[in-house]
Amino acid sequence: MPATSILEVKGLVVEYKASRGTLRAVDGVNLEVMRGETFTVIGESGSGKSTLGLAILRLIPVKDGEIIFNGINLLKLKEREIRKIRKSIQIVLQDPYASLDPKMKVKEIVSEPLIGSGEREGIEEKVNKALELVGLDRSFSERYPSEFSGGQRQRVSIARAIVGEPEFIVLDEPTSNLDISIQAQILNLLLDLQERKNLTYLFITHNIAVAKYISDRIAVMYSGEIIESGDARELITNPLHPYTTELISAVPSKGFKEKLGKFNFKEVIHNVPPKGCKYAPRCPFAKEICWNSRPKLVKVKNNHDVSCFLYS
Amino acid sequence: MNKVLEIERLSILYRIRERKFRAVNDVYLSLEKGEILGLVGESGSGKSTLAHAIIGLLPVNAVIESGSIIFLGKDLTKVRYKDFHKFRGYRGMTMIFQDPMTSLNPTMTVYEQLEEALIERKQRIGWGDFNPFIKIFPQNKRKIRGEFEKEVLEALNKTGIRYAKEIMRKYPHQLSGGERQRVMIAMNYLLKPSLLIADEPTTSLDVINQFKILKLLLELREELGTSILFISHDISLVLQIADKVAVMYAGSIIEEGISDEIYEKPLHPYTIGLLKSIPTKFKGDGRISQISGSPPDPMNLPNGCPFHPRCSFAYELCKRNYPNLLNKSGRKVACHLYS
Repeated sequence: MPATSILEVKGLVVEYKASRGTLRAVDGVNLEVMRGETFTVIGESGSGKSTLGLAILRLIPVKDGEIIFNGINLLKLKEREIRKIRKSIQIVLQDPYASLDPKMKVKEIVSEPLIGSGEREGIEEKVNKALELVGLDRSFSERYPSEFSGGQRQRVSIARAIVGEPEFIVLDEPTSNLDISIQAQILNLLLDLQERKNLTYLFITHNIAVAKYISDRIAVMYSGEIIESGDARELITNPLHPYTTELISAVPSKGFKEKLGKFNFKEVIHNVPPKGCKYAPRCPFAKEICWNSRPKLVKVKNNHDVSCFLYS
Repeated sequence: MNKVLEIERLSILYRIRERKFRAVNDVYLSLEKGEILGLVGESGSGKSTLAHAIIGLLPVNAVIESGSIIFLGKDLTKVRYKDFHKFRGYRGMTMIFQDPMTSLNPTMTVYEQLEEALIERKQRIGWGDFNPFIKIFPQNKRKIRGEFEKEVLEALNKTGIRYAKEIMRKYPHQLSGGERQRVMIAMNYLLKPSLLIADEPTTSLDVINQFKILKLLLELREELGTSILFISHDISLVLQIADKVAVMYAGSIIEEGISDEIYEKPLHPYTIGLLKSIPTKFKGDGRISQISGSPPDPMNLPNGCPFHPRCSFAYELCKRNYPNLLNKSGRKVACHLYS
């Protein structure tokens, strides 16, 4: 059966007002997520990956572009119509201390997506089922988030996300505040849930090891643009863009100290060229063309796209 | 051997309301000149309490129950709070934290904060060519300021920060996380500490910035011979960066040894579990194994070995007796499987 698309983003632009002019956090992003897969966006802090996640849920204003979810352009919907759809698109955020209301009991937190979409019946049963699915005891529903550890809180966030039987979940760095042993538990839980419920994930992270473990496909984001995307295995074993190579080689692994020893800080003196490639000032392979025109994402292999003049 | 820090049977108690609990339990550690010791543990394992005890920043409800912390020949547990500053700063110890925003003063520019470090150093070793009476002869201030600026700029440049001159005039909130951490490292170049305690220095940074900050820490050690106590929850990182590693669980050190040896062959089931929890596989190549349960509540530790409820090798003895830290061919491990 050919994979069907669940989400398609076309030419998405998000701008923030900054003290001097506007800042383009997402600059013309195109992507397509298939049903049942994990699509991961990797990038450093400030690359616009979280902004992208929030924009897809329409939690922040979008300047331009289209977000097509199950054939419906979300940007054309009115606030009342979007509420019905929110039940099937959920989000889990990085910091489970900030994203759970400390004054609400767990059962109130978890039932919110149901109540928000107008459901009135069988709420308690659904909440208990969601808690069970994320590996929490029923008795937790009467307790407050402050009584839980970070890992348990993140399980509550996941229960809240899955309670309304969503099709699509945005996971914004869901494990980066957790201890390593707890991170493994949460990642395994997410994979289990995906298998059982055929969920689609848009996973946002800066951790390559985590991305490798959870993703079917990966897109690398740099300065608001997707600069490389492809099949997870292919992209990580055979990165093409110099930035992706830089990201992957910065991961601590065997021979890390030697790598650190050899590394020299490249003097970054130039500003980002207004018309050229945004990575050019940091790029060891920058040629003249990189300073004068901006590369486009082109297909290099089956399931592997890159936006770099080295490959065109 | 040139010992910078030696900790023996250190135990630290916290008092919360009427209850007491032990956050650090019978810890031995030693650190030689120019060595990097990695301290790994999950949240609540006592690693930060241990660091705060070394640098004399324990909260008022914590007491050192027993043991000694010998820093450059002096027992710090015997030092009164008001004298502690003598051991910090110039040629003493310094600390950098996970969030440099909380350790930099938001109302002072970067230059002013680094100048403070420089003045502290000058007060310790005498002013040399500088005229100490800037207050009496204000006309000299400009000249001294010029000299100071040169040195501050030099320290900032060593950290590879961009636009060092502009950064000096900025306030911490105008900098990025990586830049703030670089300012903290520049401060260390001015203070030339014997011991640097780095408490999760790269946890809030992305991989590329983490890589650069680690590079800077190695350079700092190379240039100044500083010993580094590197604290992190990320065992894969610590094993790569440190010479020696100590793994902490529920206030105790449960395994210690040379990084490469632990990486090749971890002994304690907790260390084994931690290393196995690091995702290395691709999706579809099977699941990583996980340690079940969560770290114990320090107020309510289980009897016997604190790890036994999560340990798949636990047997009767583990539930009753606390395992001692034993020497096992150059390695130390606290587990009944090896006794």
